Amino acid sequence: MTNKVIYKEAAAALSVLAILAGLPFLLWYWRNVYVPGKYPPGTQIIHLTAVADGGIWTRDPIVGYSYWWKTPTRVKEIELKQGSHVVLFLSSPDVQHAFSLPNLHVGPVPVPAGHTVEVGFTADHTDELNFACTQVCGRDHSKLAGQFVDSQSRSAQH
Amino acid sequence: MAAPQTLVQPVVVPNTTTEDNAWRFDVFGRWPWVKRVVRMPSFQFLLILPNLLLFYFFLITGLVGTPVGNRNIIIVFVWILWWVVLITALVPFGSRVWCTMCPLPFFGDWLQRRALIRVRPGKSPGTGNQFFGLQKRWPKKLSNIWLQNVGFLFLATFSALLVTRPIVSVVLFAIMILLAAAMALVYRLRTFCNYVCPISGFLSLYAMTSTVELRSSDANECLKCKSKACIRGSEKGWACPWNVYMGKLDRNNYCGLCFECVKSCPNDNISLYLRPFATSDVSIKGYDEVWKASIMLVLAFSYSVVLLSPWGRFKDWANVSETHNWGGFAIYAVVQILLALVIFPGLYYLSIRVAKWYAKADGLSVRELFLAYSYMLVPLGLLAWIAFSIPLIMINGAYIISVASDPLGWGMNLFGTADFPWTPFLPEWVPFLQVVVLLLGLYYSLRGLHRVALKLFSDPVQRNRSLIPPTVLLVGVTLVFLRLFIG
Amino acid sequence: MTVLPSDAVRQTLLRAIQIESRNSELYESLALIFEGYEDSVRQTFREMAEEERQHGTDLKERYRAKFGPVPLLTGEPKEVIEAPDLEDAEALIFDSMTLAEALRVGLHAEEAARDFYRREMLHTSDPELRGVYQELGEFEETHVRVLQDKLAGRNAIGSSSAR
Repeated sequence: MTNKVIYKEAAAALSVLAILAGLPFLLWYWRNVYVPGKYPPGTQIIHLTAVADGGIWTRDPIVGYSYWWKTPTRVKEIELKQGSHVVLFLSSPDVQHAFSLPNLHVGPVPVPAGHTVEVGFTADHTDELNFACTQVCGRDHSKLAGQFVDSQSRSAQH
Repeated sequence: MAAPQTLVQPVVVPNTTTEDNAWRFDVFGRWPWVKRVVRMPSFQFLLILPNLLLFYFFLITGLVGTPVGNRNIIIVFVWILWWVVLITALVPFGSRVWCTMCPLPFFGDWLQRRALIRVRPGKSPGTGNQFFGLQKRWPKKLSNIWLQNVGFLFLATFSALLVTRPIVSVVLFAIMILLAAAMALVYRLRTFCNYVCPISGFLSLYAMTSTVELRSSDANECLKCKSKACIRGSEKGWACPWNVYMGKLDRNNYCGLCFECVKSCPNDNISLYLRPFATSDVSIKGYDEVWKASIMLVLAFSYSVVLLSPWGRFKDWANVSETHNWGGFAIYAVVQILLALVIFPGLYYLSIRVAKWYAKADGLSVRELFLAYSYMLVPLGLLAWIAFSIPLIMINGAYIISVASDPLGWGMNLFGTADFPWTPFLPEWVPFLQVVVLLLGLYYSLRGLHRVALKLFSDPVQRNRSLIPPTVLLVGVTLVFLRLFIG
Repeated sequence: MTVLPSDAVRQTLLRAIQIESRNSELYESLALIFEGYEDSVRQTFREMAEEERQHGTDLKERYRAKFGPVPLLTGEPKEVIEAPDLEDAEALIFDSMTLAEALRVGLHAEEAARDFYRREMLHTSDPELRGVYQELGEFEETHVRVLQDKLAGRNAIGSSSAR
């Protein structure tokens, strides 16, 4: 086997390995480095998914591998730091929802099925920050509600 | 001193089969650069690599992307874009060219050959190359396409899940990749592709209609050839992964267009030809192929009813993962399987019995006529699938534009088109196009039927009588599709 | 240049010797396709290759008796008569190559050669050359009978059974 053949085989194998390792890395990088890097330091990034079946807001990833086989964990309260900038990534794995946070004049923001929608706000205050789905999305629509709470007062309580 | 070069004229080779009188155009003869390209050692690898990248990406998106089908690239790009391109362009105009670039057996080939580009001369059972693995022989009883028939019918029964739920597609492709790899380590050559891969099953059938063929240029050269390197391989090319002997190849069904034989042929006697659509390959050689034709035709009908028709009940029956209506699903599955395996083949058999009786074809057995005339199901089946695929791309094609920018539903906007709205493209034209395509399918089927009949019957009265019952069946099937598509 | 009748006879015998030699190699290459895959078929092709070598030896004896030592033969005969070949491009895919099919490959090749020599005999006016073609035709006829007997002895079935 000549050197030329060896180099070609090595290059071919490396290109395949680069694909196998590189693609997952690129996606990880986009989600965990590039996207957070777009915002000022200290920005709180929250991924929130609305699930019509059961009326659940969850921070669990509802994606291909988990859609049928994992019951998502309901989130009733999410801790926020008063004064911090918050970016919500809202997604829906089933039907159209709408996110609304009236006391901070956020929304209603439509969250179409299969989409991820970005919503940013500043937590000027953390009093009665109730959020809910305002688009009738199923029989459990009324359960799709939660609350942002002040992380400092929460840790003081504990 | 070399002879002066003469201008190479376009090589149009009159077909030697007198009843065909079809033209053939020698692509390698006219454009030698094409032959140089396919002879490159890295040709197949360079063709497969982008597809490997894409399919790997699709698998990842299916796993960690949104579970909503029309927002996940694996569903939109595979079951809309790839499927439509495959059935409307690649197969009719490129035969099994998808197999040339298919990434599914990639790892299997790599394990079996321990090479991605180079060829290993040596000795393995029946070949002049060194292969690794157990190199066992595939069981004789399974050396047919029945497994592919059953596999495809099984997948089609769960198609509502397959084409809407990303994870189901991931599981399917992952199983195929792993199975191909495992089989490559146990059996010879591309056993997975030849006997198991469900895609290969229908590609083999519809490749018969294709406008390209890879054939030996001079049959006498093959007769005199002592190496038979086309099938055995040599230091220049791998043994045919499809186990096809080019010296006698007369149809496209099982030639995967890998072009290894072009590399290994010591007599430079293999060329790629263009030919008219649905003209040359008309011989069906086994019951497995007849049933494949029946299954595909019935499934074109079934898919159209379930996925395109206004009868939502059938869609609900098929969509059992969401509706949990197992009773309805059972009805849908049983009816579909019975239609494909029993009822339609029974109707076809009936038409053959009537044809034989009416034509008084005592010199022909029922089996001979049953096999020979079954070619008529091939062009109509292909065009029926194309007719089904037209609304797929025209109504849902806009998803391709938005999903390209946000393939996982993560909120990306790679090309600025993530918010491109769902926009049907000329929906009012869909039924007209479907009618034209179906009628073309009927035409080519009737023409193929007539071509086969010319070979079987010298007496024109007998021939015409034998054609009537199958023609009635073909027209009936076409009318059913027309009723379905245009009401 | 006019070919003398004895020279035509000599050339015909040499051509026949070349054909047997080439066909022996063709049978060997067919055997290699089935090596480690279908041993009975491989063995059959090997036997046929040996028989072709024996036919060549017989023809060389006839040549020596008429013309003396056999010259070194180079080049390939351009005819493809009697060239054995697989009949079905997909025989290995559908595993339809049986021992009986292998015998049929040989039988078709020998029949083709026999018929060729018989046709040549009818089209030739030279009596000596006709005699040689008749001899070769009968030579091939005995091979045909041997293979027919072998085939009959194998309870040959029809072409590949329905899949």
